[in-house]
Parts: sequence; C-alpha cells; structure tokens
Amino acid sequence: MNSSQAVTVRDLTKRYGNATAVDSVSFTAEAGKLTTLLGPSGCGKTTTLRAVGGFITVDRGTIMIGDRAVDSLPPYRRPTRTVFQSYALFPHMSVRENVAFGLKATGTPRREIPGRVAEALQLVGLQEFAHRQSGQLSGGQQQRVAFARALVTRPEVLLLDEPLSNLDAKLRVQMRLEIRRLQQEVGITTIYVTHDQEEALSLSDTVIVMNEGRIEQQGTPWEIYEHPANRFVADFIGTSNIIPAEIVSSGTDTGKTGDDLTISCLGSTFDISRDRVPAEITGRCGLVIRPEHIVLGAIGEGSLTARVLARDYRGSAADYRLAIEDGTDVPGTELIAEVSSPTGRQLLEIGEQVSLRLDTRRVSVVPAEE
Amino acid sequence: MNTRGSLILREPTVVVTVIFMITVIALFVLLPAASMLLESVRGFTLHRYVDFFASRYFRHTLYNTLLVSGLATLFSMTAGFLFAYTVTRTDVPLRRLFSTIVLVPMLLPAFLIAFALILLLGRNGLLNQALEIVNPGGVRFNIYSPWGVILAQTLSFFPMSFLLFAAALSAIDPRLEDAAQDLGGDYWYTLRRVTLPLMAPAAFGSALLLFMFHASAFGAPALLGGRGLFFGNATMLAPEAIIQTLGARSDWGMGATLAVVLVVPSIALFLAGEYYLKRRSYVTVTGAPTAFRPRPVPSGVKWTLFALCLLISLFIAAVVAVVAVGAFTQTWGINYSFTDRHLRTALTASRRSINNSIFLAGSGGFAAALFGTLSAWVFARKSFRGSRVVDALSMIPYALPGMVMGLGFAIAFSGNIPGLIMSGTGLIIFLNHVVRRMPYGIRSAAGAIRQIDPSIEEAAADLGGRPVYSFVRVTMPLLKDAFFASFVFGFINMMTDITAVIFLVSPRWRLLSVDVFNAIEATRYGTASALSLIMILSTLIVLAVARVLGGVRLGGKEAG
Repeated sequence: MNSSQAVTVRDLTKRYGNATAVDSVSFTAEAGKLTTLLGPSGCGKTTTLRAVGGFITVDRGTIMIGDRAVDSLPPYRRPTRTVFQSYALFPHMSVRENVAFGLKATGTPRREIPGRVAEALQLVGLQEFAHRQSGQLSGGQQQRVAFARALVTRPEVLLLDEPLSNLDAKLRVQMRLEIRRLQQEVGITTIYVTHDQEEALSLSDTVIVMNEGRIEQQGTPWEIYEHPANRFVADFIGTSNIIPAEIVSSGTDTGKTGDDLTISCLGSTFDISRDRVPAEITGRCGLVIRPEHIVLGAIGEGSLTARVLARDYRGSAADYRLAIEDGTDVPGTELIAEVSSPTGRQLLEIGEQVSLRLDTRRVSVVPAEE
Repeated sequence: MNTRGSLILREPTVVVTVIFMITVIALFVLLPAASMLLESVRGFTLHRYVDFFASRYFRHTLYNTLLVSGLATLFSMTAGFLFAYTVTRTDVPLRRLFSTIVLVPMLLPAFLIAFALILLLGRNGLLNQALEIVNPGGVRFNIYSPWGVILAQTLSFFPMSFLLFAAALSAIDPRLEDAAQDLGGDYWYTLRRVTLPLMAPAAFGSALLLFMFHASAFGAPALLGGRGLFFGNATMLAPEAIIQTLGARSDWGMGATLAVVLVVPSIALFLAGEYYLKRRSYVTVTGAPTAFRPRPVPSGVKWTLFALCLLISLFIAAVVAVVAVGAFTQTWGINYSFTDRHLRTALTASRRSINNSIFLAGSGGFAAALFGTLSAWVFARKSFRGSRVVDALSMIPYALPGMVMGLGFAIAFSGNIPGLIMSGTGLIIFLNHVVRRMPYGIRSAAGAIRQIDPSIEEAAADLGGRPVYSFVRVTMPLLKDAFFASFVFGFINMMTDITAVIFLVSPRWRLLSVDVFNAIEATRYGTASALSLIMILSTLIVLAVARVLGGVRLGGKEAG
C-alpha cells in the first residue's frame, strides 16, 4: 500500500513575463483524498499542478509533501507521478515497457519488475494488452496505461492533468467512475486538474475553484454548489440566476428568530437562513438561485408572472429562458428555470405566460455587482 | 525550485552546447567568410572590385550566371511542378514509379550528370552517333553550350523543386478543389483559380532557393561551359573563381572577389526563399487527415503528363545507365566491347581516394548528425536568452555556397592566422564537411522534435528517470530516424561534393569526387565512369543500410 501524504502548497506564485499565472496560492490536499483544481483555462490550475510535479520553477512559495519540502527537487526525485493530458505514452515502447519504465528508472530490483507490472496492469484491467505497442490502443486504453504507469511505482501523490479531456462524452463518464474507484482502492493523495465542473463535483473530496491565478473558494462539492462564495463561483459552477437584491433587515430587528435575515428581491421580501449569507455582506447584494429551484406553475399560483422567451428541451429536463413581466417593479429581468422530466402538459411554448415562485430555502447570497 | 543558481549549474548541457556552437560558428563560418572578404581587399584596396566591373570578360561571367540560373530555375521549377502535380493530384499511371525515379538525381552530383550528358549528347555521345546513322552530316546536339549547362543543372536540381512542390500540394486540402468543382469550376478553372494560387508562396520560395543553387553551380559549367556561354567566351562566377585561384594565375584575391560577388546576392536570395517557404501562408490546416486521393483529370492532360514524366524518367535512367555501362566499355564512342580494366585501374590508382572519401564522409556525417541532433534538442527544449540568435547563426553555412566555404577555409587555415594551419590535412576536409552539414542535421532533428509531445520527456522525468537516463531511453530512440536521415544526407553530400573540397584536397588527402572530376576533365571517360560507379554504389549501400536501421527516405541536396 502507498504511504499517502498530504500536499501543502503555501504562497505559491509564478509569473511569466508580466503575467502572473499563479498568485499567492495556498491550499492543502489531504492525505488519501482527491482534491480538484477547477477553473477556466488560464486560471493557473495546470501551472499549480506542474509546480507540484516539479516541471516548473516557481517565483515564490513552498510545496510540502508530508512534512518534507520538495521545492528544490527535480521531477525525478519527487514522490509524485503525473498522468498527462496527452497521456505521454512512450511511442517506441510496448504497454509493458511503458509501465516498467518508472521501475527500471528508479532501480527497482529486476526480479520484482514483472510482478509489479502485471499487478498494475491488472488494476486497470489491461493484462491482455501488455504486448501491444502504445499506438495500437484506443484513447481509453492509453489512459489506463498512463494510470498503471503512474501507480506502479507506488507514489505518495498522484497528479492528474485533465486526464479525460481527450475522450468522448460517454467514455468520459465511464472513466470518471473508474478514476474514482482506482483512487479510493489505492487510497492515494490525488490532485486533479479540470475545467469541467461536472467532473469536479462528481469526483472530488475537495474542490478548489481557481480564477485568474487565485483561489476563489475551497470546499466539498456540495458546499461549492450550494454555497458559492462569490459571483464567479456561482456563475462557473452549474447555471445560476444572479438577481440584484438587498438585505433589508436582520431578523432580530423585526422580532423574528435570530437565525433569519429579510431580503428584498424582485419586488417582494422573504426571510432566509443567516448561514446562507456570508457575514461581510450587508445591504445590496446578489441573490443566487439555481434553475431547478425556480418553481413554475399556472397563472396565479406563484408570486411572479413571466413570459417564455426560449426553450431548451433535453429529455430529462427542460430549461426555459423567462422574462419577468409585470406586477413587479423589475419587469424585464431574465431568469433561467429548469423543469425536470416535464410531462407533455408542462411543456411550455415560446410566448406563453407562466407564474413562478423562488424556492427561497435554497438560495444563497453573494456580494453585489461592482 | 526556488534555487536560482547560475545558468551553468542549472543547465550545463545548454551552456556547453551554446559555447560549442558559438566556437564552431566563429572559427569555421565567420572566420573563413571574413578571410575571404579580406582577401578580396588585400592591401586595403578595392581595385579588384573595380577591375571586376571594368572587365568585359568578368561582367560576362556575371551575366552568364544570371541568365543561365534564371533559365535553369524556370525549367527545374516547371519539371518539378509537373512531377509533383502528377504524383499528388492525378490518376496518371506509374505515378509511384515516377515519384521514386525523380529522386535519383539527388544521389548524383551535378558534375556527374554533366558527365553522363557528355556520354549521351557529346560529340561521340550515343544520341549523336545515332543521329549520324539516321542522317549523316546533319544536325547534332551540342552539349558544350549554355543549353547543355542548363540541361545538366535542371536535371540535377528539379528533384528539389519536386519535393518542395509535392510538400506544398500535399498540404493543400483536396476538399478545396472538390469545393471549387462543386461550385461549378471545370478542371482548368479550378487549376487556375484555386490550385495554382495556393501554390504561389511555395513556388516563389523555391524559385529563390533554386536560383541561388544554380547561381553557385560549378561542376556543370566547368565541364560543359568551357567554350563560353551566352555572353562571350566567359563561363559562370563559381568556375571562374576556381580558375582564378587554382588555375595558372593563382590569383586568390580575384577568386575571393568573384566569390564575394556571388555570395552577397546568394545569401539575400536564400534568406528571402527561406522566409517565404516558412510562411507558407496558404497551407490549410484541418483536423481530418487529408490522405492522398488520386483524382481523374481530363485524358488529354493525363496522357500529356504521362508522356512528359516518362520522357524525363527515361532520361534519368539513361544517365545512370551510361555511367554504369561506360565503366565496362573499352573506349566510349569508339569501341563498345566489354572490359574490367577501368574498374581495376580505378580501384588501384584511386584506392586511397576511395578510402579517404568513405572515411571522411562516414566520420563527418556521423559528427554532423550527432552535433546537429543534440543542438536541435537543446534549442527546442531549453529556453535561454539568445537561443534564437544562436539558432539563426547555426544556419549560416546552409546559405553559403560550397565554393565560398571551400575558398574561405583554404584562405583562413593556410597560415594567415598563426596556430591555425590545417591546409593539406584530412582534418580541414572533415571540419569543412561537419560545419556545412550540421545545419541539415539541426533541421532534420528539429522537425522530428516538433513532432514529440514535450510531456513525453516530462513523463520520463516524472517516473523517476534522471536526465541522462531519460535522454538515452526516451529522447534518443525518438530521434533515431532523424539522426539516420541526417547521417545519410551528410554522407551522400560529402561523398559527392566537389566545389568546396576542390580547394582543400592535397596529394596526401585526395578524394574520390575530385578524382572523378579530374578524370572527366582529362577525358578519361572509362576511369571516370568506373569511379562514378563506385561513388554511386557506396552511397546506395549507405542509403540501404540506413533505410533498414532508421526508415530513412530521400529528401535533400545542396548546391554542387
């Protein structure tokens, strides 16, 4: 079994010319857990991963694996193994030779090698492909070889750089589950880089959302989705409606229970739980509501009336783009609402009027727009 | 890694390569070039340049050079395009065969092709003898004319334009032509409005390069143009420079002046040509592979192309055949009975030259390929301040005509600089070879390195491979083919080179190519044929071995 170690990154900064790729990033990837670095391209996630792997020299900061600083170690002396985005299989070697490379390079006793290689190939289900050249494998199989090659040397930390981005959609979902199984089976500390929020939510123990070289939020997938810390996270993770709102009073002022706040939004007020509002936010703010938390009904049922502008029917659900109509002081505000598994009768036509209600128990609050 | 040590500690390979490169360029490129330039103004005078432009004869060499090169460029472009178009864009029969035969002249130096033309079209040449039988006393081919030089130059260099055109045509997405036809364009309209315009940058680029190669021609004009070309009784710049220096006058200053007159426009053309070829602005890049799809062309076009390609291919075959047959013929043009005496003479009288050539071409080719590959890897993988400058400097010898490098070496290392006397040694030939072929090694390897995903080398380090281990186990195997390719072309070019080494050979260090050239000049055609055959066979053997070991294909040649 591996002796998995936590990875601690402190104050990591990397500049390319005038551009700062990573700006004072600090986080800990817990031992044996899968931590995802999630963000749009250019957010610094890959740079951070490459710094941990030792492929780039950083300008400032330290990287610890367990209680050991690895900053001055070249890649071949670090206890990390990377699965590259392109897999980077050695094209002139067979599957077996690819997997054995790390063992040979690090001087593993010769008689141990065949057993270790077989074990690693078994782990990824590729025993039968040992003699193939790497060019003769499908994308999914190449990916498995890359995993076997990384895991065979029993590293302390596994680094995955967008490993699913070169696979087609179906295979991606399948490999996602496979990666989770492998990671939990081996129990290895894993840092996973992706720009795909669905992948991040599905796979991770911890998600770190990055943007423009900084960490925007760190938390469990549920926390990230349900309690986005700011507009960027709310916008980047899933689909969000962010509506201008105002915290009009803390609950105590109106004699209600001390755990609630009153919020004014779209012409009406409602109370929400204080733990959904970051302490530093007062007055004007943005109200985040997910499309699935907007409840549509026949006219008169809800508090607001809207007209359907567009429909995106996907089978399992339908998204509607709605414009708030009248009866409020904010006509024209547009919202996205999702109806899951709509029945034929529920399927709305463009131009149709509908009433809507916000499920205020599931909203969250982010700072107001600048 | 926070430690910011000095460059030498962090990247010793980079520092060593850069120092090595700068030393090589300074000593063996800039120094010879500067020596040549200084020689032309020796005594701090420009009188040689004044003499050059005042002399009708020298002006004629310049005009001849321009006109012969211009026409040879036109013809080699046309032939190259015909072959490339036939091979990549049509359903003409025997396309595959044509695409192989067209590369044969790349193995042959221009002077050897000129020699074969003498055997075919000379006064006692086969075709003229055939004409004599058909029509006694009638019209004859005159190979000793500007047109003979142009024919030899065209045959020698059209494969290069074939390769450039074939690459450009293959890079054009055939679906563009499909689209043109779909939109109602007929064959000629599509060719005129789509295919040819897409080829324009490649055509312009290769025209500049070909002109430069033709302008520095030595072998063909020396053998076929001795009685004068278009203008007066003058020849071309490169052979005239050799006549001035190695001839009875032994006027190195004037030779150097002629070389400078030649090299300045050459470098300008070369740089311009490279620039256009690199830009290749119309290369269409699409995700889907555009595999070769033969397409039907109008039958008139098809059979015209077939006839032209067949004619040229037969001529190439004849060129090789006459040399091979000539080696076993008593006296060409008079007595065609079999003999092995030329071969025996060649093997005894030129044994030393053969050994020298094989030894120097082998060791020089190996060194050029090795340094070229290593340098290309350092330039591609390690970024350091000034890497682009060093990279650009390392390409200079590629742009310098062989004659200039030979003359420059002969002047620089003959005692003008104390401590750097190498004339008459094998070392000077070896160094000259290595410096001139290294750029080819760098290009060949750089192309291969671009194909290698950098993550593959990172993966080797990531998996625990130390730098040397990773380089040996991963990088080197991946560059093997490029290495063999540059070795083979280095070897072939060194075996067949004449223009540079003619200045560097000595009684102790004679070379096969120079022996062949001397035998042709002395009209000892039997010996010349036998020696040529040995030269061709040795390159074929090396090519075959490299093909087995490293999957080498043909593809490059320099001015001869």
